[in-house]
Amino acid sequence: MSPKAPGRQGPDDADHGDPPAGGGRAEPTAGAGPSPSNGPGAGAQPKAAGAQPKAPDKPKAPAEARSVDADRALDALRSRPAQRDGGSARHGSVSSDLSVDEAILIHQAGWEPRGLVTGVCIFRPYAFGSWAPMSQSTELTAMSGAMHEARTIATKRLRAQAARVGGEGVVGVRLSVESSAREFRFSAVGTAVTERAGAGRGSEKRGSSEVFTSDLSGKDFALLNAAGYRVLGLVMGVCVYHVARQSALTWMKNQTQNVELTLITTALYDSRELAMGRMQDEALGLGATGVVGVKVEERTHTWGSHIIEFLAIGTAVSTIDGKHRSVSPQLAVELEDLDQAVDPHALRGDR
Amino acid sequence: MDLEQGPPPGDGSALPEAALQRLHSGAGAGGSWTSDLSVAELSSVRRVGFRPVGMVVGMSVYQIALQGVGPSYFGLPSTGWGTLGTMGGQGMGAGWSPSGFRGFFKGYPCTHGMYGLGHAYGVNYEDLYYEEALNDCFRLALERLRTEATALGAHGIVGVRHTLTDMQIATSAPVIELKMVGTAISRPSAQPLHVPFTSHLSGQQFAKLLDTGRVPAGLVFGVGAVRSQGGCVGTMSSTSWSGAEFVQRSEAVQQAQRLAVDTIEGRAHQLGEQVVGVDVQLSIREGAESAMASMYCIGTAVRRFRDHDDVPVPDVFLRLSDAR
Repeated sequence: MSPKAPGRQGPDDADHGDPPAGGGRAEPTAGAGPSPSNGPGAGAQPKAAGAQPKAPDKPKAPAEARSVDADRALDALRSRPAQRDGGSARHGSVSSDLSVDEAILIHQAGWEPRGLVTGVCIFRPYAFGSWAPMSQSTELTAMSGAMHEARTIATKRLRAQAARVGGEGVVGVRLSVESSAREFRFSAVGTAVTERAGAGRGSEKRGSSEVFTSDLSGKDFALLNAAGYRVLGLVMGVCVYHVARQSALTWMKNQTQNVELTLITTALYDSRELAMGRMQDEALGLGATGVVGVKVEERTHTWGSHIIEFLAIGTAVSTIDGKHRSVSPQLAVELEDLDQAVDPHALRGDR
Repeated sequence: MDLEQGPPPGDGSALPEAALQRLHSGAGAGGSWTSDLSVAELSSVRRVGFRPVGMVVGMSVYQIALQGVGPSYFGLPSTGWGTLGTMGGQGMGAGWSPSGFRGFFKGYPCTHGMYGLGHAYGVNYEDLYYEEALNDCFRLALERLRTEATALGAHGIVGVRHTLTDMQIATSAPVIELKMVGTAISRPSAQPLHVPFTSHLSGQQFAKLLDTGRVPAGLVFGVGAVRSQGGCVGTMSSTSWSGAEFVQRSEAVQQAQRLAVDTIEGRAHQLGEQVVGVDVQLSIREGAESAMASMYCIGTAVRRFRDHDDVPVPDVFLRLSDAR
């Protein structure tokens, strides 16, 4: 099928109408602003303009700057992409799993993405030290160690990949674990970022050459930067705990009582505290001022109900120059009732 | 058309008659458009000077060649093969050709330095057939999607959603179905493009992208598939007292991911400088002694048409209503 008869567009246009912009600045439609500062588009514009003797349209709609953007954008697509500049040794373009919003914010915070990076560790814990008597509430230290170590290996690989693509850190790290009867698969995915050249932040150059990791989204990362904090890295604490079963006697005695199950309370309390404490220790080891976005997750994996893994994970941060910078946000009240807001995705029947 | 045979395979431009009829009846002068854009997306798209012209679909049902004579196929247990001290029992599979392995290959010699019963030479190798199958399937679906858009006179397609499903057809070889659905948009005053752009970004994101001086150039897809035929248990590293890493398997997964990302970045190079919003899917299929790690990622390559430093700094605001 041929691209289409240009004639078909005529009547179609009638109901189109760009939003009538106030400006009234008439724009030549094809070669909209072939300014030399254009990136990739620049080279192609003469060609685009020449190759297309435009059917004299209706009088040009007063175009907004945005509509001009649209024309420039389409012109850019008619050309070949500009060759990469910036001395990158890579032969491809830069991939990232940042959303458009995140990409914009990260850019404005003075950073740029360097590529999608991943880290994996498939781990088989030893059985030794990974069990406990039924009546005993105790930490399964070997298992705790294994779960922590495996995650550390995965993030280490993530950082190694980030370093390879020239990243100073990785944001939006998603750590996930899949378990089967005999092994755990830990994987970490994120986007490597580096400070943009000429972002004017030379004085705040990071001291360490270590690649940092963070599970903060691009948005949070940008905001954290604006507030005068620096990300030091992901910190985590793991505790795998065996919760004792009550003795049959206690169970019998308690059946008709309102009673706190102290055994279970203590066990769960203990293990949660242990995990959080370990995370704090890691943060202190990094010299952090604090840990943001801490999540404490509980999982039983394939162990059954009496063995629980607690994972405390967060991003260790420290102030850049010892002070918190206030970002003075505008206050906004949404008129929309969020509970009843229309979810466009729901309408589209996906996600 | 021969009903038995269907259209010739691999002809990406062939659209079914029903599709052509739908496109012709709905499109063009006086016709109405359909779109699966939400109201907010519609207004965003209109705001930047485009209008929807119709909903477009591209799909392909694809059979992945049954390869690998050995039982390593799709991670089935390879008992009896993997232990013979052969090359892991993958037979004439995947990357194997008489001239050796193409693509990625790494051997894991038996740590005991022995050949024979009870010992195995482990291999990780790239499954090129599998990768080619997915790439081809993606290309076909995308070409059809674009053909539909071209038929509508569109400049591009936004909000492309894709679903990749295992069709579980009772044939011996696996069959996948890839569907892509999106909304074709056009800028009525502009000349058509040679190839309409495609993007999985929503209407709002498309508008924001244009505002920041970048334009989606096309959907890009990358896949990496690495089969791992386990060697001796010794491929574990005993780095600690608490457990052991299954190094060979880890490396297979890591390599699959690397291949996928490298492919997507390499392909996007033809289209633009960046790939945004990459969606990553990792799967590991496992048998007793072998596994296949595959990762596929899909993203939108974007091209810069002006410097986007002149974007106004967004306002930071504090929501006074509860988010939930």
